[in-house]
Amino acid sequence: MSDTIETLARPAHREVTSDRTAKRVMWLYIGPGLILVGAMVIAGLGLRMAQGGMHTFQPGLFYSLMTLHGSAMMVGMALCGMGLLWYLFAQEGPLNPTTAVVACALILIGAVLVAISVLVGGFGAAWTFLYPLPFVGTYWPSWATGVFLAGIACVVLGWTIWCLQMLGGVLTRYGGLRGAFAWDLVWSPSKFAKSGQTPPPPQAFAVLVSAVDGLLAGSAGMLVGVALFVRWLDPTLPLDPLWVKNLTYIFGHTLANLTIYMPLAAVYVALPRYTHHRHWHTSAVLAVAWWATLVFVAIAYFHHLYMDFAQPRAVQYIGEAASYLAAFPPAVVTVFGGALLVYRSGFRWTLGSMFLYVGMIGWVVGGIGALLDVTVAFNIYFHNTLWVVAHFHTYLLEGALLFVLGWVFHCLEERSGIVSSRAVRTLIGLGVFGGGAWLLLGWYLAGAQGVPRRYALQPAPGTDISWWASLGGIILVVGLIMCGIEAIRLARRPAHREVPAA
Amino acid sequence: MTRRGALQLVAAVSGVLAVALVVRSLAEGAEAIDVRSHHLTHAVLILGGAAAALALTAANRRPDSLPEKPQWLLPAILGPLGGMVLMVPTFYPYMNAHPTVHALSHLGHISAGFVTAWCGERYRVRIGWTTTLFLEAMAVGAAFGFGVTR
Ligand code: HEM
Repeated sequence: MSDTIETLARPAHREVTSDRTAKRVMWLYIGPGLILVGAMVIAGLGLRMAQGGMHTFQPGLFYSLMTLHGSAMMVGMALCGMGLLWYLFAQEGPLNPTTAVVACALILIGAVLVAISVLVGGFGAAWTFLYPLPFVGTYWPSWATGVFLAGIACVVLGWTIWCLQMLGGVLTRYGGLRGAFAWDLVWSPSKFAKSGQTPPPPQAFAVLVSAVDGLLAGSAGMLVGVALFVRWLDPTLPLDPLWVKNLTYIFGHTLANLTIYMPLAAVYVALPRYTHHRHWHTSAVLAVAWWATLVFVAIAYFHHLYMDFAQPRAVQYIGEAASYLAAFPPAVVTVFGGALLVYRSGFRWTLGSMFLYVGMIGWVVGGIGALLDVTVAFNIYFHNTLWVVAHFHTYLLEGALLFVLGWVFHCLEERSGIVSSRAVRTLIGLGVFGGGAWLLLGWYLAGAQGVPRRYALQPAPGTDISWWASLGGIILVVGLIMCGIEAIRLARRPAHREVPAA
Repeated sequence: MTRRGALQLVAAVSGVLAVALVVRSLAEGAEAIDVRSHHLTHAVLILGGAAAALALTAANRRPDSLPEKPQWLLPAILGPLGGMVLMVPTFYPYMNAHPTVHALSHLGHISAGFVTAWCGERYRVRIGWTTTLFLEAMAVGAAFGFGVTR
């Protein structure tokens, strides 16, 4: 092993993928990712309006559309985060674009298969379902189930390829796990400083954690996927429902969590560029925070199984503790660090910086909503209510998506050399944050009233709340459309050499 | 003994032990075992194949093992998938009744482990260890619910 480490330390490996190629790969991921998200926002609004009684969907169509919305949103958000991290890491070390293209192609093929199963076959078991779904009590043909499972399998394969590529890149670039984790920086800081080495930049931790936890999620997804696929082919095959549920949530919960942690890297890289000469350095605290995130993201999923009496009691405690602890590293280190970075820095407010900053607020608000839900005393009331939908939409829609939009606008502003006017920023801000908050409030209030999630026709006061919450959704969609128009306007400007925000 | 020699020995011993397990089931005739034990046996076979590959690649570390070689990545991922397909419990009664096919499928497990680890390491150094770890976790994990109920 020692000779390997020596070879790894060779500076020859500092050469990086060309910026042009890296950008192309990034847009290859982010482009389709944002198209998927945009289309699914419209579908989501259709669902919310149907719940509010503004129009009706045929029986079954609501659940099929909800399945498409959930799956495609997850794929879209993951694609955005993957492209962003790929680009950022390609600045650090060489990554082969072919591998990234294969991974992206597999994921897109998977998305098409899922769309066929839902739109043609009417599959409607939701993006995560509990066995014996999707085999028992279904209203869609059996082939649709097979196509859906095949689609998810392609997504998992593509995701696994991406994770392995990123993990290989990080390990090679920083000389193995020890270097990638900044172990020496934490445990022997003076020796580390004297050695003249530099720790990995903050965004490299996001890459490492996404790759490792992503592989864990991918393996669970592959195992449960094979099991469900075989069960589809051979209905006599017994599966342990609790085992299936554990694997489903290791996969689903971890993937959903990572879609937030991946675009966070944009905050580390882009936010300082809007300040006057401030940088986001890797400190021992930041490194330890990411170690903690790695562990807690992997085991927090147990909170989905609070209601399962057959689950060993110890893991229920682990789930609650890990869910709480998972909140500290990002909240204390990243958000607090981000606020300090901005404070009195002569921060330049542009669309890009605004999205990045507000994204951190959305992340914290959604996180607090999630923490309330994982508290067993509250979970008894909130479990599977719209409270769950409220908190995950908060940090996906008003957190992760804003990080992605912030990054996209940062790139566009940097390239065009211009920033949007104050009026445009205000209008978009009102639409995206104001409309978004209005929409989210509806879910929180309905959840607190015990209105169940995944119901096309909701018990009172669900329908009334859904009706007025849909108005917030409409405002949000208008804001997002304005955002799209502004992005196209900036993209059509000729490239400019100077960086406006630096 | 040199480090290289020791690694080659580890590779040979793991490979031979895994194959010996296969031959044993062929020689004695496969005794019908429950699905969970069957999965766990497969996990051991997979580990044997993977350990042999990891020791071999470590013994023959190439100077060009650092850059990415994308052509090796797909087999490194299809290996675990193949391993899982060979663990489909629906086939087990048939396997139990046909010792030769059973022994061949066990060779398939060893190959799945070998391919996963070997191709992973050829793709990029240390990735074979990662793919092996996850394949092994899947193989052991299968014993707790894939064709098994409490
Ligand atoms: C980044 C943006 C978004 C993401 C990532 C996202 C993701 C999701 C996910 C994963 C689900 C769960 C589906 C399931 O339970 O199987 C869901 C449900 C839902 N989403 Fe979204 N969504 C986003 C934006 C929106 C928007 C803008 C709207 C409405 C205007 C919306 C409306 C809905 C509705 C109505 C449901 C069903 C809730 C229920 O009753 O259980 N979503 N979304």
